[in-house]
Amino acid sequence: MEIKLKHVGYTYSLNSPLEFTALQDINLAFPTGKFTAVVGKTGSGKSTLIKLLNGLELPTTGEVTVGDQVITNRTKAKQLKQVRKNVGMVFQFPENQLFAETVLKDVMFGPLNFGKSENEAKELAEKWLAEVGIQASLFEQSPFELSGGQMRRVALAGVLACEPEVLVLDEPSAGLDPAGNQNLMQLLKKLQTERGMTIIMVTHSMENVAEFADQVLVMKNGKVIADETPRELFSDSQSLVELPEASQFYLKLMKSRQFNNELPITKNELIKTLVKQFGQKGDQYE
Amino acid sequence: MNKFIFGQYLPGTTLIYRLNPLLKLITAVLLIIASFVNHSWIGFVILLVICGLLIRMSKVGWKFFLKGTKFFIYIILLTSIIQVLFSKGGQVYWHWGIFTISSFGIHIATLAFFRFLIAIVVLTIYLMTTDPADIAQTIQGICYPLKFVGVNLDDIGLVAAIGLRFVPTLTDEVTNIKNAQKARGIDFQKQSIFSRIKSSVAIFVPLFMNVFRRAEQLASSMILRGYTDGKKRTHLRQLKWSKFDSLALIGVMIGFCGFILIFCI
Repeated sequence: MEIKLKHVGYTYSLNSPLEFTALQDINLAFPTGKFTAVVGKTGSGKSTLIKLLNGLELPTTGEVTVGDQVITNRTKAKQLKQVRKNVGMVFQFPENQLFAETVLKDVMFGPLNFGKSENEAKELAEKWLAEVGIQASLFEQSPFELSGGQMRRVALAGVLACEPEVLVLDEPSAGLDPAGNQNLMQLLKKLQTERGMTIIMVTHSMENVAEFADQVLVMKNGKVIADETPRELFSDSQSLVELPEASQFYLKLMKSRQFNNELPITKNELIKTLVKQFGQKGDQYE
Repeated sequence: MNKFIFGQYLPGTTLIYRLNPLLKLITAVLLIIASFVNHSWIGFVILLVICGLLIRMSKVGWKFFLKGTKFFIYIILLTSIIQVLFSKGGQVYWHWGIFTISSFGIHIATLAFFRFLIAIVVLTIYLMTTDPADIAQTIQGICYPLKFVGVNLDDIGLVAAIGLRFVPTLTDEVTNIKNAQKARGIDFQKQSIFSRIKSSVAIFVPLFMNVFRRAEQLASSMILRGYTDGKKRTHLRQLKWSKFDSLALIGVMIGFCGFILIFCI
């Protein structure tokens, strides 16, 4: 399911002393089945942008198209339910949304709201809890007794159980340890490649962008200043963002941007490049 | 962002912001008293003009102010209408079943309408132009005599200041949780009362969990920064009472006494 934005602007508290323009004239498309990362400094409008994608906020100007549904500032609340079913949204620290007595009931909440029967909801909940790696023995526990990482996975399952076609995430790995981050990112990549889901993720981690994203949007002061592949973005000599650690390491090592091969952007690429350049038995490493 | 502006502080630098918060509180209370003891129409006109001047002085903008107080104005209007319909006395203009419109009813309903309107406007201006921390300190100052009957004012002041400080934080948190549940398909519109109560559980449980966690963290961080109770506290922000405040207070008092003498006796 494709999401398109046409001349979209968003202003908070219009016509009041607190008026604040968060987005200006945004034009872009999130293609079906792609993994798009959204990066930018705090206050650049990333969070506002993603709230527009499932109708939590309506654009002040312009229009957002989700599949075949058009959202403008005149769209009625009733029409948004279908959009919210199609576009799943995982907020920052999603464990804050947990409320039910048991893990299973919490995950069933979404499907039930979207009109599934009790049995169907239960089936979906069990399936997605397994998918995110929560053991069946935890299903009947209170979600508040789980560890932080487990709570986050339950919250993620709660959104996935609504079976959205597009998944939008706001800094999903904030506060996770490196292993937790890696697990989560691999799960997202799997959802994209195996189930054809469209993934849109706000992040500050350039390593995650380099390793997992197909497309990256850079935002600044409420505008999109770059919309390209991670490789294009990081290879640009006037880079708009901080480079991933692997690229930084390589640039320091080479002391200049004058080299024949491509700039490595992930850890694996870095190792391969270094072996090729400095090792004698490069093929042995593979 | 909330459209509901009652009680929300809007930072600013105009004269009304620079006045001492105690002076402002006294003025607000006197204005409200004046409107409640007043019976004459000219009195109300004068008070409304004063309110208008205060709104202008605060520089928040008429449109914004009206939008924020609209809710209260409707409520007051509704109560007045009920009062008109159910009060009896004086000349009766219309009568049907239990409803009566009489001259007496219209009179007291109009009085009540203007009194509450003035009270709401004055309080809104006070809360909009005074920093919550200053309000807390002022109230603590007013309660000073309670110290002699064994009330620990520093603790109460601290609780009040923390409470006010966390109002916007918690408002944001409610918005976030609400958004997260909306994304999971909760529909707050078009629901029966029963299912509305049921879905509010999905907001309040996470909210309370967060509040408790926040309170615990705040307590730890206060202890780590050396907070202990029972000590004599000083304040980071000293409220200054300037000559101008004294002059303004004298002016307000004279105006109030004059108003009472002319319109209420």
